Amino acid sequence: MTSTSEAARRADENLHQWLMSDRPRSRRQAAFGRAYATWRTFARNRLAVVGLLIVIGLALTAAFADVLSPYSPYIGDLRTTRLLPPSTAHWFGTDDQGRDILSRVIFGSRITLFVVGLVAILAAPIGLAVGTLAGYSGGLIDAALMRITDIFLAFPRLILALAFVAALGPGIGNAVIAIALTSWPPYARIARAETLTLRQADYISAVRLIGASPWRIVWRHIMPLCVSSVIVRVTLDMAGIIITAAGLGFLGLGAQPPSPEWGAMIANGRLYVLDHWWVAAAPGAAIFIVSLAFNFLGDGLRDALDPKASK
Amino acid sequence: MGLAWATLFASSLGAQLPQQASFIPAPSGLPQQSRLLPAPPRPPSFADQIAANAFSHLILPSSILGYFSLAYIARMTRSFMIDQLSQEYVTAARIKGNSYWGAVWRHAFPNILVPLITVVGLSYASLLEGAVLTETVFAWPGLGLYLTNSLQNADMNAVLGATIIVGSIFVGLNLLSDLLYQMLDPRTRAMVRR
Repeated sequence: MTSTSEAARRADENLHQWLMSDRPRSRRQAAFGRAYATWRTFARNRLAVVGLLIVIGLALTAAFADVLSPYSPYIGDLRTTRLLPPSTAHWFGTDDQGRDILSRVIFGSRITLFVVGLVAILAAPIGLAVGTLAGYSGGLIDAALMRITDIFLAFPRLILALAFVAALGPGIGNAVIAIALTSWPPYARIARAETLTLRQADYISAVRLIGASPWRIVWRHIMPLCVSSVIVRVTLDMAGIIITAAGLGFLGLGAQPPSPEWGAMIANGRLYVLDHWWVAAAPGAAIFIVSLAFNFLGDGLRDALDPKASK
Repeated sequence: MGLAWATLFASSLGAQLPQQASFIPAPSGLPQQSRLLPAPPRPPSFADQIAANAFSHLILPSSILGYFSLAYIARMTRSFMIDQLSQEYVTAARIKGNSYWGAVWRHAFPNILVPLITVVGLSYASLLEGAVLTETVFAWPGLGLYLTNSLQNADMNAVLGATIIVGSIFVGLNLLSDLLYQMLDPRTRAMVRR
């Protein structure tokens, strides 16, 4: 027993040595070692680990919503289960349609994750492309792209998203497009600032001397270096994205009933909040916890990925 | 306090707009139960104390709205303060015989104030977008509620108008904070002259 734990301890020690080695023998070892070092910086921040766990929990909840939810999120019994307080049968109570709120919150995590993921996939590349292009080319292109970015930045996000949804029509797909259209400008600014510091670097001149085209320089040598700061910013923005999506749902412009979107659930619960507080409480707490988790995660990622902030 | 005034400003701007559909049944909420503060919506009062009445109805929505940006301003203030306190002039002020809080308030705080203006100006954006939700909840007949109502009635002209007004207020405030920054920070002023 003691010998096996001793052996395991020694194996751990060897792995640690191998990962932290000053002279990695292969590319793979170097990559693993760097990931390990980043993870150690990240794990030192306890709140960030809590945030990561909650976000993983959200993803698992969304993936296994069918298994986890005790009742149907769409069908309730209007005769017997209308507006029941929290109990062992319905942990978060039931809403005005007799639907189990726990099941609706669980299925709502799918919509939240859908919105967050899609906005990240849509907005981050747009911001990255616009920013690096503007920063590297400079001159007229830079000025034009940055003025467009400024125009988008001239409106508060929710209000611009409202205007877009008004033009496109309500619905969760249009809400995602509207939020993505309103959230790329900060990423473009960050990518541009990063590009401006990189474009004079020696290695860029070296690549240009070899004969690389501007497209290749931007795509292969500048963009990868901007990715980490954009990822940090996107993670920190996740909370804002969730809250904007919930705000759109709250105003009846995001997900349409009967889909269990958290913001729409709060808007519905508002009608009953005096006598039936639990209808709005559960989705509100869900939005709160998930936004907080993304903020913690973003803070931790910034410490781990951004070399300037960690010093 | 400044936040309350900001809300008052935004809301009174909204009150200038025509309100076809500003009546919404009283939203539910704790104030009606507790009777600590008057419940929304603002009653149509023609007495001579309209302003005081309106202000008493503003306390609850504006404090909730202000809470949005409070956290952001507090965090930025903290990081600016940490930056300043590590500077040498703070140590010098301490050596000179200042107490710790004396050094913080007399020497570090005025230097924080300048970048803080930008932060407060930018947090106005979150106030404007928070107003949309807060005014809907509290049935406050301001610009935000007007925007929401016209959205739900597919009144595109009203939506565009409200969006443009909000956008121009926001841009104007950003410009104002930039100008204030240059007035208050001698270093940027010198750069402008050159």
